[in-house]
Amino acid sequence: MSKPTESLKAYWRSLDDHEALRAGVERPVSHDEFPGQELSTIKVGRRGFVGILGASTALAGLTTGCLRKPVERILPFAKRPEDLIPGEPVFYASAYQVGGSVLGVLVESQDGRPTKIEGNPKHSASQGATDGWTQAAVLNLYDPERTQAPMKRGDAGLVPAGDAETGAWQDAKAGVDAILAKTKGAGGQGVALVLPWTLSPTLRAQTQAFLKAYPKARVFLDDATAPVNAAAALEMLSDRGVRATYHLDTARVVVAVDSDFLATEQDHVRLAREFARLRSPLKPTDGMNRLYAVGPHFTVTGGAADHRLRLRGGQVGLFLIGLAQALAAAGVQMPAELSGVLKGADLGEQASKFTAALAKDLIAARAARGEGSAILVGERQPAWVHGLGLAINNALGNANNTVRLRHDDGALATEDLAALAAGLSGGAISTVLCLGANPAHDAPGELKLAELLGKAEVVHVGSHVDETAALAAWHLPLSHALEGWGDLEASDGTISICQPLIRPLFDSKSAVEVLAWWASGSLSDDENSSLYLVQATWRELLGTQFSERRWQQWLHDGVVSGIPRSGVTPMLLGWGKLADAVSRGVGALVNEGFEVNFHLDPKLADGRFANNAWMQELPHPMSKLAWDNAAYLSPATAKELGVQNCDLLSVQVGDRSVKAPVWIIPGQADKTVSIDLGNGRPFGIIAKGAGFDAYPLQAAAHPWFVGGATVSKAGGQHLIYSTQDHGTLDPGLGYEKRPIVRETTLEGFAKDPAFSQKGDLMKPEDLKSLWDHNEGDIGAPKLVGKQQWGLVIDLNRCTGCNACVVACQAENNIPVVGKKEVGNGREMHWMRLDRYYSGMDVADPEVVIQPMLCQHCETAPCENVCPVAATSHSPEGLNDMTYNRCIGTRYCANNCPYKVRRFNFHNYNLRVEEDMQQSPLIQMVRNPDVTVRFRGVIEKCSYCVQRINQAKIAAHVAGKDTVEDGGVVTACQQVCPSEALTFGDIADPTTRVAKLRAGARNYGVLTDLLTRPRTTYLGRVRNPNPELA
Amino acid sequence: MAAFKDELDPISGRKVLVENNLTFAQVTDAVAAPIEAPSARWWAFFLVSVSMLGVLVVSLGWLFWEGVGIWGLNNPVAWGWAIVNFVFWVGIGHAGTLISAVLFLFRQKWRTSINRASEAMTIFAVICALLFPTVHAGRPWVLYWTLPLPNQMGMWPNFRSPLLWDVFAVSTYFTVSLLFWYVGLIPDLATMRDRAKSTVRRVAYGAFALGWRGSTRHWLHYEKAYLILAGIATPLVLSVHTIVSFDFAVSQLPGWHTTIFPPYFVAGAIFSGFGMVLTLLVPLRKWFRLEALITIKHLENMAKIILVTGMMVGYAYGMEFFIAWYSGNPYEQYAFANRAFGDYWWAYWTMVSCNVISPQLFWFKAVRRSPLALFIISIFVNIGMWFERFVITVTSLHHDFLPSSWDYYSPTIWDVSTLIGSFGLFFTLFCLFVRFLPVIALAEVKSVMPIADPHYGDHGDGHHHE
Repeated sequence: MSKPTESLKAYWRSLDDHEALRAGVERPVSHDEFPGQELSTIKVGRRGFVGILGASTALAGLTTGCLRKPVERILPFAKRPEDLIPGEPVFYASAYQVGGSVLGVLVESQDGRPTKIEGNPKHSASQGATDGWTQAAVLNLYDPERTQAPMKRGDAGLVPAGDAETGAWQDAKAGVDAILAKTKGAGGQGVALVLPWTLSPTLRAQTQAFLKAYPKARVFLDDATAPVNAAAALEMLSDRGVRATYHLDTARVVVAVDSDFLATEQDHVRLAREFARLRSPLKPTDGMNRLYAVGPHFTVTGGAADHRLRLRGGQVGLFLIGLAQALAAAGVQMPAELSGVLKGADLGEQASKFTAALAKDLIAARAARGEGSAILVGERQPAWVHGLGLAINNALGNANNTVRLRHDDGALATEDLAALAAGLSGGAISTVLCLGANPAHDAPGELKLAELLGKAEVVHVGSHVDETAALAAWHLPLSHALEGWGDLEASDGTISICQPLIRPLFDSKSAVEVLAWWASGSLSDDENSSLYLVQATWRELLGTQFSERRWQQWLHDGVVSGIPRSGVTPMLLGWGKLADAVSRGVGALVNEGFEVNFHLDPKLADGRFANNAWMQELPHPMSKLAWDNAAYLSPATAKELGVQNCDLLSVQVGDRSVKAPVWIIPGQADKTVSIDLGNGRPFGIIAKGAGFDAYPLQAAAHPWFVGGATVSKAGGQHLIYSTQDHGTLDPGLGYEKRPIVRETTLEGFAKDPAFSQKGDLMKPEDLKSLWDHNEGDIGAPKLVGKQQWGLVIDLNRCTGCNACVVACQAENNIPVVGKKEVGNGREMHWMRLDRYYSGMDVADPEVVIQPMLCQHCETAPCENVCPVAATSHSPEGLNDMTYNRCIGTRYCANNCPYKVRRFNFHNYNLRVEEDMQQSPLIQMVRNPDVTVRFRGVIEKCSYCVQRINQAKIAAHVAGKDTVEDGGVVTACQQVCPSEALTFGDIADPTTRVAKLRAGARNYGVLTDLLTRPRTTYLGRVRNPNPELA
Repeated sequence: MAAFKDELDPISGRKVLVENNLTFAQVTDAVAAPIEAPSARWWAFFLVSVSMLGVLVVSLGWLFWEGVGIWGLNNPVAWGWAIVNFVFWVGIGHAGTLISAVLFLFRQKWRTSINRASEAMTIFAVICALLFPTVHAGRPWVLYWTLPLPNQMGMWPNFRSPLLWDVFAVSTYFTVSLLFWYVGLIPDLATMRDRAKSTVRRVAYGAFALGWRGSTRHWLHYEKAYLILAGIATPLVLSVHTIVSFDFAVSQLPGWHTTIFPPYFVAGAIFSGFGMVLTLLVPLRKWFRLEALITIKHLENMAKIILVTGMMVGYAYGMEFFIAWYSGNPYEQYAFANRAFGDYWWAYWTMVSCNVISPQLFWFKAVRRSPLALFIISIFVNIGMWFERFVITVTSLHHDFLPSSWDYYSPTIWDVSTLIGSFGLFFTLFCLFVRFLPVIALAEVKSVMPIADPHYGDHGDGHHHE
């Protein structure tokens, strides 16, 4: 008998599952059945013991157990400030930068405190969306461990600067001025100014002013998130300051060459949006783009790819050479200068088949009208590989189409950290000014920069007493991006003015204030000085065209308009230089032995979010590891080394070695180790103890991967926790047939447009409602609301980038539970991104990501079983959760087939406050529209009911009886770079969400249970190249 | 089988229910002795039990202070040992009422020497059972919201929730069991009052004896009341565990959502209840020298019931697998395969060994009549039935529909201490019971003694009827 699910693919969740799947038999319990979990024993400390004693006594007495609640006072405004409606949030346009990406944002201010960051729809790079980093930025603001006042080196480390008579900043100014004065006579000889990737016109102008005052000073770049290799390639092929942006809105074939352009590379938010727009066929004739990914590590982009080729980092350049060869052989005109170097790139049969098919596809895309292709080379690859990528793009006619070049006129000329190290060790540099940079942490370990900086006089301006601050003579607090004025220029030249949302919480200065002081010698006490400095830049730039009105318009829009731009499009000409670079680069590749690959952490970036609890608790997009990084190994390599998950691995490069826990992950290239950077910080309540630091392993010449490493089992274990893989043992019976994810290929979609309805275990007409035969539908939910809310999630668009998870946490005051509780399986995220692998090849599987959140079932299993009716249906179809009424039986959680209900096992909010030493700051981030939950109650996705109600009130005020389509935007929907979520009224057939629900790909998860979910999914369509199938 | 020779009733020819030709006075003395002169052994047991109760108090104190996070619960496994223990104790609470009410209605006279202790066990087990749903709630201080109390919010509890049915079922069961037990106690309390040598005892027993004087009118009313209560209690024996099983069966979780659960749970409850009765009575009859009253024959009868119900439970285990396969539902099939061969295979096979295999020894008469063997097997039955609830609760939850949420559950030290503590509560109450109340229903047992028969011995006409 053929079962309806037999046509379904086999999905697996982790490697343990997969082995069973292949073996097809049950296996004995492996000793690794519960990686990272030991019988948890709660240690009772002094406070806890007194607690038990007290509670036991209270229990024994049964009458005297009342604890008094602390007195809290709410102070209203005696007079209402103008333009302020209490409880009404106000949004300010600003911008936020991580590395080469600048996102225009709208920051929500609740009674004067910023609580949430949204994308600015008018800004080209964000288009209304943001990413996880930007979402988390607001929590960085309220980090109580930020440096609160200037500090200077005392006998026993850093001590507060200033005293009763001298203000701290006065003292700091005198001290730093004295350091600068020593070199002033020599024109700043020996002074190094270390900056991160600077995209602020004001900071750039100030750097120039600084260099005018200290002409012999040198400027160094220290930013692991910066797109330096891409810039270097462009400057090699064209002029200084030439920059490229990629545009995928017409790209039919996209090649991600070791590039995680959907999650961490420059402009990932805009690229994800453009990519997704060509990737969601609503009907078979719509067509879609095709993504090829190449690289050593499964990234978000690799997971989205239609074809993925596992290659060592050092083989990626050779792959591009091979691709160029194949294209040239097929008649694509490659620059003549390169002909000498396009040779000898044999990476095996699989790779050549891949390359041949890809070349054919690229040529076909070039031929198609109005379409194109794009080769995106990742920042992890050296400049010569970027150069090759540009050559291929150029040859395919993608220039000015999917690849656009521009002059970044103000780009700073900087030196790299190797030059800084050389200067420090040679004695050429004696004074190091670090402004928002942390070279002691994120410099490649080979440079031993921390040691060298120890000998120099270091002035560090930063947010924390970090690795560089620990070496500094002066450590000055830097304001958060939301605390001071600034300006930022996005990669495509869009400029935004950054507005502060709040006066600095601590005694800190913004970057523009500090650099202005160093350049000019005077430090203003005016709290608006950063505003004057930024305005001054623009006044100077625009001259008489600058007006207050214009300024106000810029602030309002979040985008600077009317700036004169050079109209010259750069030309790529320096192919000869590239040929030299390629031959040198190929010669330097080490493709023997183990290769260690370093990646920007999709959660912590280069480490700047390390002390951010949201980001630490966020599950890694692929491994789902929280609170740790790991040495990722392929299953075959792990077998070869004889290691299992959590075993400590010793990784040695040259004379530098680190020990790291192993995590075996499918899709990793064999004989490679991938490690996320930015973990293992030595300071911070949140950051300390989370993960290990991989920077020490980095080589100076090319920091992102290094061959010839020695990797061995170190002995011992370090427990790390994944939110999806704990307890992976199971016999696998029936597992592979679960019709939870529905997918097909574009071809399959054409053959069977209703593919996503296949796989239901019961035909819809066979499902009988309990209510149907009841007179008047006794007990059935009364869905009498004017509008019926629903959510559609497009599995084609979703990349698993995690932005929605962080946005949901920020919007809904979701507590952080910590590493131990994650290990106990008690993470609180309302939204999780379920990651399943599919395919029988364990080394090279496909990935599917399924966002899972409350499905708001119309006949919700949770509602029936609650003894006190704490969860119930709203007339508008929401499955509401009444925290006040919940008594915590957790029956609803058991009966939820989607397991989306979360229980407050402890008073997590209190715990966070205790961990943060009762700092009131941590409360400031909370959304006042959402209840903060106490222990003992269940919580779950509410479809952002607070936003629904705000929209309804707004509609009511406007005299309408319904909210118009798009009037309610949930937090996850708003943040999503790829527009994977659509929310709205499903009762009205004209809304976007209703149209998607009516579309061919729509299906519900577990509808066989007759839950009638309001959240439905659009089945995934892949677009494999028939030649590679 | 000459080896198993029982004393026969001189009149009916059936096996006697009270051996050794005891007189009424001897029976009363035998039963009253432990109450009037507690042994050192009693003190030893009592102190151990109270210590275990102390463990419970500390565990609950920490629980109320810190929340249910101290247990090993996690996201898919939101019910753990607390619910396992609840069902376990409710199950144990079954035998008492079955013995006292159902066997009473069926005129099974052998029940008279074991019904008092079994009913006491029932009440204490239900107290332990009620403890767990109370403390397992996230916010136990608002647990009264499950009661249909008029309130200013105009909120009723959710009558569709099986948990609410549980509240009613278990509390009704407890109330009726308590009343039934107390009514049965009245004549014996009067006996104790009459034997009391101190004022305190006399007043205390006297107050609870409600002025019982043993008049015919008293007996008439007493027996009517007892019969009515037996009638009320009988359906409750079936209903309470049926409704407890609804907690699972009404949900839609694979492994829980099963129509076989009500009869299966009731059979299992009787099984475990009799197991616990044996665990308690085998040592008790020896230490209190009540072998003549709780005879080997009594024990053998209980062993037979255990054998029958054990096989019913075994049948249910088999049928669950059959239906899972027959349903064609992959989730259901997986849930049961996972039970037997998944992470918790050891729990499943512990359950099967204890509940299905170990009672098979009761096919042998020598085993049925060996108190030591009975005691050991009864312990296995208790362990097996605890594991049955563990298997049902945890294995169904830890791997359900979406594999992404699957997790493993392991208990913490606080789970263990709460279970140990609940035994402390149970044994403390039981120790107090044997210390202050007659463990055998004197009035009832006397009525089934050979000498109670009007035809017994010489009844005045000078003849012996033999």
